[in-house]
Amino acid sequence: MDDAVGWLVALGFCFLTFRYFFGSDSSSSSSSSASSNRRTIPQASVDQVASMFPNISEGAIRYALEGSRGNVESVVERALRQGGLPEPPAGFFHDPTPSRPATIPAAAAPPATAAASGSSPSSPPSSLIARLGLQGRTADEVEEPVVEGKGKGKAAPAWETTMEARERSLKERKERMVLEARRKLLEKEKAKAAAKAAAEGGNAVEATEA
Amino acid sequence: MSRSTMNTALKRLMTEYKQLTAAENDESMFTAGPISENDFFKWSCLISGPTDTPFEGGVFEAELTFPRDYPLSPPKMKFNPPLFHPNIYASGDVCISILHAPGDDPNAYESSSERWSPVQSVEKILLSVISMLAEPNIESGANIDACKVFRDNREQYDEIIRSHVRQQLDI
Repeated sequence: MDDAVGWLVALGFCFLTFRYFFGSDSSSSSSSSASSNRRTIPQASVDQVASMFPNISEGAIRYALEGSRGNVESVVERALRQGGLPEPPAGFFHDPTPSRPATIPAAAAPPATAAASGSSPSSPPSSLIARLGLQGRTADEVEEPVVEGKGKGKAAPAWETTMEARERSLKERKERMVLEARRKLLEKEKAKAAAKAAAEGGNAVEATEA
Repeated sequence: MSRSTMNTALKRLMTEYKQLTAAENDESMFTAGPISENDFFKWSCLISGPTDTPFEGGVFEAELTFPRDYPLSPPKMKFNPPLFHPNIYASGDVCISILHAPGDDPNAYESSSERWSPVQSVEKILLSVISMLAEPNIESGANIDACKVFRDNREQYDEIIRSHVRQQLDI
């Protein structure tokens, strides 16, 4: 009889221990799986991606990292392919977990346009065009810089005698340099696109011939 | 700092500014000068990306800050916005030997001939930076992430830089 009681106590103890470990495990994982997933994204990997893409918000990076199980490599690939990362859905970070990402998606909610001010770290750096105030001169000045460059670019710019004139001359030279670079790059991209189209056309012709 | 060292610095900066302006032509890789002549110790410069590198076609803005005892001490150079490059800190600060005085050497293996000395100049700094853009030195890396990507995944490195180039020119 004593034996039986001893066995019963032992069995009961085993059952309780079993329940304690496995029962609690399953209940907690089902209730807080989202937040425990989130905690597995280290701030270091978020910062790593953010340092390569200053124009993508931290919320979007964290969201993408969670989607890829923290794989930095694949998130970087994706950002390069798509030219950005989607913003997390509203309320995605609105649980008690981290305080930092909860505030950032809200701050970076407006779409990341190049014209946004470059003051806050989460917005993209303002472009040179924006900083030199050249927005109005990018479209209409496609041809003009060529003429201008031929006219006075060959010779060294004159050394102005007054402070104001020197400042103005430097500013003009900078603007010309940026606009010229932009024009050349656009031309190059257009040429590249044309070459690609031509190559594809050639392939198509070959394909039909074959 | 005495008044005379500052006058020396101002005179020297004015001379360099004049020479840089005179040397400028269509093939120039850079433009540099004081942002406002009220403060001759803060210059801004535009640097063209060297050809046959992912920086090709791009224009990058950097700030030069000169010390009051220039040219005894070197200026500081900072890209704004920061460039993704092994030798540029995430803050945009450039880390190359010509910007270090012979005494302070964070990496302890640069020969003193390529360090800062009063015979160097803004022009030499800018030329060194352009060659640094073309050939990063990952042994004395300032941006560890950039070093890793540059070493392990060159295609990705190139693409990051090309997208920065396009963003800066609003394309």
